[in-house]
Amino acid sequence: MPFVWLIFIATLYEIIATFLFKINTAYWFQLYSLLEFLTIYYFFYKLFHFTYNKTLKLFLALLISVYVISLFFLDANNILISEAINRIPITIFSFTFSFIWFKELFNKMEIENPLNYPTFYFVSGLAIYYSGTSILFLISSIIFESDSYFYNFWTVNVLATLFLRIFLIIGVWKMERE
Amino acid sequence: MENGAGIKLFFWTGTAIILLSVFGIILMVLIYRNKLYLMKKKESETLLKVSLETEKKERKRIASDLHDCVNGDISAMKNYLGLLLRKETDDFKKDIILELGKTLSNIENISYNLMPPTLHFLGLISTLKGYFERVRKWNSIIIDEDYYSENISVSSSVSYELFRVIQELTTNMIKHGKATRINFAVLKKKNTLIFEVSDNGTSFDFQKSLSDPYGMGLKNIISRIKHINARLTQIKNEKGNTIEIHLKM
Repeated sequence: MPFVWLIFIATLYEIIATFLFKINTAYWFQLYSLLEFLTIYYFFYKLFHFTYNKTLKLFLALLISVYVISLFFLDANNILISEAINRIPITIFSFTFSFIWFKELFNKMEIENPLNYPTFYFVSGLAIYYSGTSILFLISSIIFESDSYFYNFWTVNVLATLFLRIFLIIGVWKMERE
Repeated sequence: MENGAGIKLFFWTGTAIILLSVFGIILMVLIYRNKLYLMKKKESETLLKVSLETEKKERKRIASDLHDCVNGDISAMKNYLGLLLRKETDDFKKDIILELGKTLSNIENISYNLMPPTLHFLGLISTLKGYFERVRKWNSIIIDEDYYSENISVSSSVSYELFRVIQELTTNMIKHGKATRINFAVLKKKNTLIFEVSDNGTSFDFQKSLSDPYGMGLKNIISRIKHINARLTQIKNEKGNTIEIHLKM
């Protein structure tokens, strides 16, 4: 749920701050990376802290270290470099724990139908989103410099975000039904 | 990366990865559900096997207890009473011995129905012959039998299940179908044994009757047929019923 709230706040912020007040969003995006990581970490922590406590702690240390490093590359005019740095560990983290979730799903075979299970939508949404956008963020700075294709390329991010939000909406809807 | 083609390639790669991930997840759900279905099917098959085996063991135990203990004790009581009442002229007292004789006969019958003793030692055909002889004795019915051979090579557990199925079918034909004539045949076609039971009673639709919540007997027949990997078919007749059990040897 914290991740859903973060997305809601981020959407509001982007509408109000970026479109209405034309505020530079660089610092917000830097903060967003940290909040994004913390909320996703909280989600997987709640799922796996009994069984994968050591791995979770290791990832926490890695993500905080990378975030501190990204601060050195923070540039108000080009946030994409810092974003790309932060994207690497969070992508690895999401992939690792999504894989673990699916592996446990097949090992335990306890759920009658994954389509009725909210966690399935959250995990799947995260896996799809990070699989599609990882390449984009890693080369975003280069694309940004050849600006003519930037917005075309950014469509990938829009598509991935669309999938993520659809999956989150279904997940929240299933949670409410439960 | 300086040219547009390179960037376009990345654009399509990103899109392809997203779509592949979506399809991958859909595929994963399908595989999961299929695996769960197979697992549950296997589980229910195991459960069925265990319950049929347990039923068989229990029947055997009760039948042997009735035969060896209760029957033995009543026989002894009958003998003692016979000695005591040797010089007795009162018919009322002598009736006690007759009643004990009837009780012994009833227990023997119950014991036989629970587990025919001949099934294990003499095989299916002999047991079926004995069974039909008893049915003829207890009911006013004509039963025609036709066996392609006096000995058929089926395991004792398969013989037991087949016997129970034939027993249930003939009981139903007499009880519910009010049949006055039953034809029973054991045939062999290539490597398949066919057990054919037909009657002249009230026609019924086997598959339709299966959906009846009270049709436990028919459900048990299907469970037993499934357990021995046989196949049951009903041949449509204008009058009466014909049911065939096909068993691959």
